Amino acid sequence: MTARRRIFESVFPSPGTKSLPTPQATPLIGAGSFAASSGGSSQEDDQQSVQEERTWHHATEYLSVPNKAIAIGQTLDHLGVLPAKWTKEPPQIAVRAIQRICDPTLVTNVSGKKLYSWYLQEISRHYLQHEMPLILAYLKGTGPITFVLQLLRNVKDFYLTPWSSIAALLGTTGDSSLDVRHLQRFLLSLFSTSLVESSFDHKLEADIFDLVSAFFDLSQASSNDRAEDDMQIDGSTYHHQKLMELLREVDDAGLGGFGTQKILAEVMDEILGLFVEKNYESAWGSPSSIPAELSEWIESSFVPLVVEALACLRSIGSSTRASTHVSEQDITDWKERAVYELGSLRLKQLFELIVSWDDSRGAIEDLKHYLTHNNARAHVITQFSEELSRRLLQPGASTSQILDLYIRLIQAFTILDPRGVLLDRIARPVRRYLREREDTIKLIVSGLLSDPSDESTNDPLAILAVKLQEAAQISNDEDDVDIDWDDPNWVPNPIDAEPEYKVLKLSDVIGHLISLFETRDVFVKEFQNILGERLLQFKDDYEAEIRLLELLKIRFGDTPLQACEVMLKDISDSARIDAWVRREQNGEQTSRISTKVLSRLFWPALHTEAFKLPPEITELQKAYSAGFEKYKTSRKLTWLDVLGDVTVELELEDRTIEEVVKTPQAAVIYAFTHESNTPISKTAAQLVEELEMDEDIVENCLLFWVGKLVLIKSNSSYSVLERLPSAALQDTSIGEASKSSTIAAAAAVASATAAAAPVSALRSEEDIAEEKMQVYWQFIVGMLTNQGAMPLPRIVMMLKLAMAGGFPYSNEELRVFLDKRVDTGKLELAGGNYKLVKGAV
Amino acid sequence: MDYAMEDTQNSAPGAPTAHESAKLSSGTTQATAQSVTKRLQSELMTLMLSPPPGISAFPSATSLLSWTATIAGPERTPYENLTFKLSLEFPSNYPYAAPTVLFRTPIYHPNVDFSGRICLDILKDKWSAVLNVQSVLLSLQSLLGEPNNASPLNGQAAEFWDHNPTEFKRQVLLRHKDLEDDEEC
Repeated sequence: MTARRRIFESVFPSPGTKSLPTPQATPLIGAGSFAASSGGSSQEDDQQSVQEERTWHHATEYLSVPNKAIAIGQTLDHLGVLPAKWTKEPPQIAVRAIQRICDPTLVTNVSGKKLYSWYLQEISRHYLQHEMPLILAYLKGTGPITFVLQLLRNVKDFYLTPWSSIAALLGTTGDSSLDVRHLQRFLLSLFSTSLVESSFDHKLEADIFDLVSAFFDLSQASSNDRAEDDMQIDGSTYHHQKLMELLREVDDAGLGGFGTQKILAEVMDEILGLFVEKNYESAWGSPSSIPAELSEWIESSFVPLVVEALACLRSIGSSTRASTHVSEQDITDWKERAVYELGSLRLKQLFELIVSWDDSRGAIEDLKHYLTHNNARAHVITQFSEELSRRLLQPGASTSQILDLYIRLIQAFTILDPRGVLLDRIARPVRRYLREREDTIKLIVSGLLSDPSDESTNDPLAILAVKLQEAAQISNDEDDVDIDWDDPNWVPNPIDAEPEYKVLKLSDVIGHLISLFETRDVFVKEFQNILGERLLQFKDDYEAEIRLLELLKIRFGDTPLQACEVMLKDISDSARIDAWVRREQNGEQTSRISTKVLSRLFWPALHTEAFKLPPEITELQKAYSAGFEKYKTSRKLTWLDVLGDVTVELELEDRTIEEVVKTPQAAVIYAFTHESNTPISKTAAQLVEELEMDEDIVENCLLFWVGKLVLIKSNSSYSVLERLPSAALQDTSIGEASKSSTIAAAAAVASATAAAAPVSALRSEEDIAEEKMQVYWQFIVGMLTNQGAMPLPRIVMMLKLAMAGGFPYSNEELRVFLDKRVDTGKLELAGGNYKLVKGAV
Repeated sequence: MDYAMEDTQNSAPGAPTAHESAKLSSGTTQATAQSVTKRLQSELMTLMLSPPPGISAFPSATSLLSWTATIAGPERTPYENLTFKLSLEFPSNYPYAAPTVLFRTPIYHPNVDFSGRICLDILKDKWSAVLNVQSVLLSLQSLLGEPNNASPLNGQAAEFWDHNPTEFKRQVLLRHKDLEDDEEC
C-alpha cells in the first residue's frame, strides 16, 4: 500500500505529502512481508528494500523543491528564495544516497535515471503550479518582457542549483544522461511549451522590432524608455546595446533556440521592408542609385547586426547551432529581397509615379529591376490595371486628364519595358475607354494644334505639339514596322505578349493616340473641322496650321489630308484674289471688305443661315462679287453672311468703341444706328423681324453688347447706353449705388456671355444630323405614299435598299424620329404600321 | 437584307437575293446590273430631294427594279382631286430600254385600256436614255390633261372627251376606285 502510494506520489506528487519524505519509522513491509514468508533469503531482501527505501528518501529529501513561488522581480539572492539546504554543501547523507542510487554497479530497484525523472517531475510540478500562472498573468499586462526573461532565468537557475551540485559530486563516474545539459534542454522545452499559447512570442517580437527599428532610425516613437544616464550615448548605439541585452537575456532564460531565431528573422524581414519604405518612398530622382545604396546598406549595417544578434543566441540553450551561420548566399538573398521590397513599394506607388512623370523617372527605373523577378510582370499588369480602372477610368475623370495620364503612361512604360508588351496590356482598357469618350479626338487635335512655344498654355496636351515636332523626322511606314530584317539585336516577343500585339514605335506617343481609333479617317475628319474653325478666325498668319499639316502629311501621307490641303490653299488663294479685286476696283469703297473664298466641297459643313445685312454692306458685296466674277469668269460667290468678322466703330456721346466682332453682332448693333438725338429702343422680337435672324442669335448678340456696356436692357427692350453711368451720374451722390449696380449687372452679363458657347463657324453635328434626317423624311414620305402603311422594320429595310449610301441609323433611332412626326400629326401609328396622315404633308 | 450595291458583290454565293435572281434571270452582266441600281438610286434621290408637285414614286419592298408611283390628277381636268397609282418595271438594261408602266388604279382615259396599259410614245419607240422616272411621270400627268385622241386605246373615252365632257367626267368618277394600301402590288 505504502509502496504503491510512494510510486504514485513520485509520479503525481501531492503537495500535502511531498514535503514530507517517507518516514524512517515505516519500513517497506507490503511486498516484503510476503517475500519473508517464502524463504530464508527473503530476510536479506527485506533488509535491502529498507536500505533502498532509506537511500531514496535521503536523495529526494535533498532534491525536493519547496512549495513556494519565485516572484517576478525577485532574484535568487533574495532572502528565502533559495531554500537553506541548497545554499550550502549538500549533506553527506544525501550525497551518499545519491551516489549509491547512481552507482551503476549496484543492482537495485532504483537508479540514477529514476531519480532524474523524479526530479523532472518535481520541477515540472513546481513550475506549472507556481511559476507559470505568475508568468501568464504578467504577460496579460503591458510590462516589459525583460522581467519575464529574468524570472525564467532565475527559475532555471533555481532548478539547476541542486542538480548541478549533485552532478559536480558525481563527476565523471555518473551517467552522461544525467548531465546538466539534459536538464537545461528539458527546461527550455518546458518553458517554451508553457509559453506557446501566451503572448510571449508577440511581445518578444514587438520588443525586438522596436529596438531594431530604433537602431535603424525607422520608428517615430523611439527612445521613450531611455534612461537619463544613457543620454550621452547616441541613439543607435543605445538601441544596439539594448537589443543585444535583450537577446542575451532571452538566451539566458534558455529561450535562445530556434523559436527566437525565427522571430528574429521575421523582424529583420519586416525591417527590410520598412527601411525601404521609410527611406525611399519619395526618392524618385533619376538616375536611381537606390539599388546600389540598398546593397551597400545590407552589407554594412544589416548583415553585421544579424550576425551579432545570432551570436547572442548561440549559448548552450540553442540546439540548432548550424543555422546561425551567415553565408554569402544569404547576403545575396537579402539584397535581392531588398530590391524586391523596393519594387513592391514602387508598384504600390505606380499610379502616383505615372501622374508625376517625369519627376519620377528614377522610381520607374527601380521598378525595372523588380520586373526581372518571376511573375512580377503579371503582378504589375493585374495590380496596375485594377488601379487604373478604379482611379482613372471613371466618369469623374475628365478626358483631358485621362489623355494626359495616358501620355505619361506611354513615356513611363517606354523606360520600364522597352518592348512595349506591358504597355500594350495595360493600355488596352485605357484605350477602350478613351474610344468611348466623345471629346477624345477633339482634345487630341487641339493639343496637336497648340503652340509649343507658348509657355502660358494650361492645356496638358500641349505636349503633343512638342512631340509632333520631335517626331517630325521619323517617317512612319506602318506596314513595315513589324520586323526589321537587318536588326542583329532582334529578339522574339516576350511570352506574355497578346496575339494582336504589334510593335509600335514606343516613344511614338502620337502614334499611340492616333491609333486609338479604328481608322485614321475619324482623326482626319476631326482635324479638318478644327482646322476649318481656326482658318476662319480673323488673323493673317497661318504658319502654325501650315506647319502642322506638313507634319501630319509625313505621318499620314498626302491623300487623306487632301481636303485640308485645299482648305489651306483656299486661304492663301483668297489673299491673292482679294488683293486683285481690290486693285481692280481701286478707290472704290469695295476695298473696305475682304473675303476668304472657300471651296465648298472640301470644307466641313458651314453655317449658311442668312440674315438681312445692312443695305450698305449688301452694296459692297454686290460690287465685290462683280469684281470676283471678272477674275474668275465662270464662278459665282455665295456669301456666308454669318461667318464674317467686322471691325465696328461706335461713336457714343461720351466715348468711341472699336471692336472686332462677328457679323451678326455687328448687324444687331447697326440696327440701333440713329442720326437724331432720339434714342432708339428695340425689343429682341423686333430685331428678329427686322434682321430676319434667328432668335437665339439675336439674344446672344444683344447680351454681347450689354456686356460691352453699349446696350442697356430695360424691361424687355434694349437701348443704347450713350453715356456711361459713371459720367452721367458723377455729380449726383445718390447715383453711386445705381451706378455700381449697373456696372455689376453688366459685368455679370459679360461673364455670362463669355461662358456661353461662342458662335462657331462650323455647324454642329446635331444640325447636320437633323438635316440628314430631313432627307430621310422625304424618302419615308415617298415610300409611305406609294407603298402604303408599313411597320418600322420594313421602313428601315426599304431605306437601306433605296439609299445609295445606305441608312446609318438603327431601328430605335428611326423610331424616335418617326414618333416625333407622329406627335406633330404628320404620321399616324395604327397596328404597328406607320401611315401618312392625309393632307398633312 | 441590304441591297446597297457594294453588298451585292459580297453576299454569300449560295443564297442569291431576290435582286440577284432578277439580274441572273435577265442574263445581264453584273456590271450593267450595278449601273442600273446606281442609276435608279440616283433617280430616287433626285425625286426625293426635289419632288415635283403631285408626283411621287418609290421602289417596292423586294426590288429596286420595280417601283410604285403615285400621280395626282391635274387641276381643272376631269381627274382633279383623284390620285392614281402606277407600277413601273425597269428592264435590266435600263435606261437603254423603257420601263413598263401600268396604271394600277382603274382609270377612264382615251389612251389607257381597261387593264391599265398606256399608249404613250415615249414609253414605246420614242424612249431615250435621257428620260427618267420623273420625266415619265410628268408626261403621264400631262397626258391626263391632254389625251392624244389621234390613237386612242379607248375609243369611247376619246369620243366623250371630245364631245361630252360631262359624261366623260361621270365615267371617270365611275371608273375610279382608290386602291387600298394593302392591295398594292
